[in-house]
Amino acid sequence: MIKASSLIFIVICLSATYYAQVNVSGYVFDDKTGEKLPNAIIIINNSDSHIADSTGFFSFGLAQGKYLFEVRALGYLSKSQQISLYKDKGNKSLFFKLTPKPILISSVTVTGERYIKEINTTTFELQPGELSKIPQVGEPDVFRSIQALPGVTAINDLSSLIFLRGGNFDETLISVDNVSLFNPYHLGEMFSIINPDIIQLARLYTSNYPSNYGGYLSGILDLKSKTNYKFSGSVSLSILSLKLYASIPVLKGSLIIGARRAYFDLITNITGTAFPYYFYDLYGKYALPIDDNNLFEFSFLYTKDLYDIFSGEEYQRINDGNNPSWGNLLFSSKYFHSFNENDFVDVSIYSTNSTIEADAEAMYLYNEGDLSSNDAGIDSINSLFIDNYIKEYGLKSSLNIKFQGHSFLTGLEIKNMSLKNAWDIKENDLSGLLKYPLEEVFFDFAPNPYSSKDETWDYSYYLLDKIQLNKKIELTPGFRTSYVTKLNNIFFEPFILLFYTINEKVSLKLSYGSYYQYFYTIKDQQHQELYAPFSSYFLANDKNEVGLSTHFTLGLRVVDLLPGIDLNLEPYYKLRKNLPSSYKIDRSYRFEDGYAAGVDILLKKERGEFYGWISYSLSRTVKKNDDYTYYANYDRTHNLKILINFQPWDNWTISGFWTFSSGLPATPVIGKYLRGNDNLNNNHGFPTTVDYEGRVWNIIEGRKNSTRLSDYSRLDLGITGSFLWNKIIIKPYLQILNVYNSFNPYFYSAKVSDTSLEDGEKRGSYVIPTIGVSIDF
Amino acid sequence: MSQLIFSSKAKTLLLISIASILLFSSCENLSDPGQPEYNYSLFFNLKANSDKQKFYIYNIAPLDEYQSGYLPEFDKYFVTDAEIQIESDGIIYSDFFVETDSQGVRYFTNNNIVIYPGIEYHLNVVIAEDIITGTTFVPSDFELTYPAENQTIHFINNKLEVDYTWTKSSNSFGYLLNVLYPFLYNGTPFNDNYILDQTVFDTTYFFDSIFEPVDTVYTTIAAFDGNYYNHLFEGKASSGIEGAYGYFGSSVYKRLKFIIR
Repeated sequence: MIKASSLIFIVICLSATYYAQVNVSGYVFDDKTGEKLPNAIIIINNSDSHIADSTGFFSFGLAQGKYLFEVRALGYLSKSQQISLYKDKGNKSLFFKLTPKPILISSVTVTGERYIKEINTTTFELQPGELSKIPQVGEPDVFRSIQALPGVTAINDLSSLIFLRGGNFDETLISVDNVSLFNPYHLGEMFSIINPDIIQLARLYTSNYPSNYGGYLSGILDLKSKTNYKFSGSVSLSILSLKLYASIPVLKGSLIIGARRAYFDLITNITGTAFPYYFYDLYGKYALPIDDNNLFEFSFLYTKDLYDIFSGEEYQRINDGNNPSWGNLLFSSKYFHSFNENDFVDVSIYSTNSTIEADAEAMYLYNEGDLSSNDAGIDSINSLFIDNYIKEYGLKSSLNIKFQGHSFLTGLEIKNMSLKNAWDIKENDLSGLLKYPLEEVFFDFAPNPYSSKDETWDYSYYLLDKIQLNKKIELTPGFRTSYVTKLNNIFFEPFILLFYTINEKVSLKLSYGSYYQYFYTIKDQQHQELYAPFSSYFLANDKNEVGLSTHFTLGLRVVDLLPGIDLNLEPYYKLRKNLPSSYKIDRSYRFEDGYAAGVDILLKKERGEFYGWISYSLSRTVKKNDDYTYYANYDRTHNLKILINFQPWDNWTISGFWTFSSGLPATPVIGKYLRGNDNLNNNHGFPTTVDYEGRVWNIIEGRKNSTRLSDYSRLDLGITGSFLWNKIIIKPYLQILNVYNSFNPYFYSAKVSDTSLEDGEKRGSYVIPTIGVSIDF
Repeated sequence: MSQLIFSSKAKTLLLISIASILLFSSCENLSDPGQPEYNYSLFFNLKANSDKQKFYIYNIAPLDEYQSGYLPEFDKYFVTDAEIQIESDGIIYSDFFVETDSQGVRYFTNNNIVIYPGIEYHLNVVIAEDIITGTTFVPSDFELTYPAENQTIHFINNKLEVDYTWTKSSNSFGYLLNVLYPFLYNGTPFNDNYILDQTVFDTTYFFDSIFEPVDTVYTTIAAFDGNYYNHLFEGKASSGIEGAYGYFGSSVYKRLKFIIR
């Protein structure tokens, strides 16, 4: 009886204990990459321990109370956190983020990764965890995150173009897994074609990039895709698109799939108001480690934007051709071999292209069915025939060898680049649809019809040698030399970097580099509109017209300048030659010289309850006409960006991003003249305006870019949460752009008032709330 | 060095240095917006097969000049004292005088110049100390092959369709089609104007209306030169001239009328 009573008592106590327990579950992550960490150890009050499973997931019960959680994982700094558990608050979800220890973890990395990482040239790196914490339009975007870094200029809210330290947007190499991308944008230039879910690392060289890259005047945005040998995935929904990401172990290898589709057209189809545009992109990568020393990778990227330009009821299609579409196709195959821990080689072949195509013809039906109206038309066939492409394919190889105090990185690259720009557009009734005059859609003053085709081979060899002169001084001389068949000329680009470590917290660097670019676009924002939809590329025709930029950079890095805050300070100077520039006054373009100079300052705090950065850039980007010097279209003298992330509660992060910058240069209006009566009124040429008496005035523009728009500022706020549900993490987010509704300038134009014709700037304001959710498994 | 870097005095010095550099180097130095390149604008479209040449010369106006009112203020922009010469193959025309059109806009004219297609003409204008020069090559002659003069075209189901065809005018940069209904709305003229590419030699014009065009429709097709086209459609500020904004261009006109039934 006593035994029975004792048993019942024990059962009741155990039950009470069980029911008094709080179930604790969650994941352990890499703080930088956001990847889940398998087999992490969670130690409670320095005694009991629990091990996360192969997906980084853990779950166990604890009685109500206060506990010290210590989380450990191989290769990571351990993390301790005091956590209180209350039964009446239900189960507890926890997400621990561990910071990697500063050691090399993997013996198999992407080619040259370790070597280049050790070349302390001008780089900034963003990883998935950072990419997603900058409030943005619609959804996280890699290019827009990059715009938040120092030395990067954005021209307006709608453009994701990247301007690096005084360089035009076409002077930056944008590559995925070391393969170039051209016109890598959705929706004109509003969003990048890169699904941020597939990106492991975004590395930005704002200038003085090492010689293993080449062919661009300003800098490099090098995007590395993920490789993950464990099963994981996510589904994300934003106001812009639906995204899928999965990593699947296949035959000892890693298969990464990323897909995205804009869905606004599908919703409007249901409501009966068809939206004639959508885009999608698909990325895939298979990495197969053959053994410890050999790795094979294959990847592809396919993107498409489609625009049903004649979808309106006022049009009747008269051919079965394709609607306007544009996109990219990329293939890359790479073999990597590691001789030992220090020496490795890789060979890759690749193909990349960007195309814009259209074969659409329609009849415009003037006021069909409305017989009370009176209108007339002529030859009302509207047609778009466009066949533009830029294609590149080639072979790259690199060899990394350490030998007696030298670290050599050398490589050979062979590539073929071909370009075609061809269109014939009859736009009688398309002015409202095309938005821009045809002459400015592809390049300044583009004629119609137009056709050109060009091709070149480029054979390049590079060599870098990192020499450890002593414990404090590291010297990296190098060069790149290229033979360009179209120009029948050999170009030589020297590079040198001197790195001086004053002590473990302070370092200095001095760098010189020279860079050629054999192709260009003619986009000088003559339209002064919000953004330029497409870009046509051209090869240089003369070796004396090849763009040249010589970079000088001095850098100071101080770790813990203030507690937990690191300082990067970099003055730079770029001497630039043969920059395409266009002039509206005589509708011409020419090659000009110039310079860019400035200083970028970054204060960055990576850890703690508050983290983020403050960056300030002071810059001058100057071009020299025969008669005078002027600031380039994308010159912003001051550029201040502040990003603060704050974690006020468990699993919630609040982000704030504030940017302030000087206004962009603009060309003022300085006079006007009347038109005679013997002209047709039209707005296809230079700016005209009609006064309230109906008289047409032509506008006289002053010197190029001799005034500025007003200053620009904007505050964005975002909040991101994480909830655990059956091993699935649900991450909702809310972002609000332009919180204080800043009335920012867009572009400059003449305007007519009741009494006079005035010059002025166009301004606009908006507040854009964005919501979305991501489900990780 | 390392001690220097980490002392609070050194940090303060570093921050002050940075701030000073930024302060002194951030002063704005934009270029002067400059002045208008020319004092005048000139619009001169030499018309072959036309019995009257007229053109306009204006003073440049300040940007913020008051524009209310109509004729008195408008008139002050017109240049009245220009000395004008047009020359071709050694023949010089210089007898220009000022007239005013029905809207009161003044212009220079000469009723005696005979402009021939396919010929180059040179312009020389002197206004005080300024000289304006220009050159235009008049497009060659061409023929309107359809419809024929006085042809009858039917207005069916409230629609009028006319297939125009013409021969090529060499040196032309494009064509202007003008369709005039002189008596469409209780006698009020109605005009349609269309610009066509230089490669177009036929087009279908249609008119969709409950108002039946009355009896006669007049059509003009003009082949124009590059100066005219580049100024009006490509936005070239000075096209075919030196010393002024505007253009010195030329065109060849063909006219016909047809009957609507």
